[in-house]
Amino acid sequence: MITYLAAICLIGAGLFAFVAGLGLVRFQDLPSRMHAATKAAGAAFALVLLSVCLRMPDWEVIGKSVIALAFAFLTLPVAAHALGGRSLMRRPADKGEEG
Amino acid sequence: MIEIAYHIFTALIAASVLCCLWRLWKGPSLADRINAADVIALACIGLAVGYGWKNGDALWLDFAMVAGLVLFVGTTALSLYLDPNDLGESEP
Repeated sequence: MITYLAAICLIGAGLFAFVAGLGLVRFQDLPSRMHAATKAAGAAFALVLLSVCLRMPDWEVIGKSVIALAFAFLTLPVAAHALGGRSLMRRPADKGEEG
Repeated sequence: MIEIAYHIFTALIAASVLCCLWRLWKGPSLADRINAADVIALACIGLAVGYGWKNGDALWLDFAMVAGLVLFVGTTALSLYLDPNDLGESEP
């Protein structure tokens, strides 16, 4: 029974990853694409780790999954913020002065 | 059952990576390409964890932890190359 639940979580993770790729192709501008990539990919990663926890219910597996998920959820928004801030806040006046 | 779920998962991840490769090839700006490479790397980490899921092997979770941190460092370091005038070291 719990194996079926883990399989459903794994297929859901694949669907979320596919939605992330589809949003990366179909959206129009850079912030929309970054939104699709960060959120849907983070949800897919969380579902994969949840599926592993359901398949092997062990304290070691659950602890490692929680640590990996915490790392992913701490670092994904920071990376997206660095990327978006770097790409959106350009200052052409400074570039003209220094160039 | 487990094999079927793993095959469906692999096919969906492959489709996602193909979409990201199209964006990596086509992307108008450098930030789009960095973003697509980020999603490809995260999909590969998920694929490795899914392989461990199929085999009942929990060792791939260590790989997921370390590769997540390395992915963050790589994306942040690449995003520093986007606009050289905004690095903060050229203040008057």
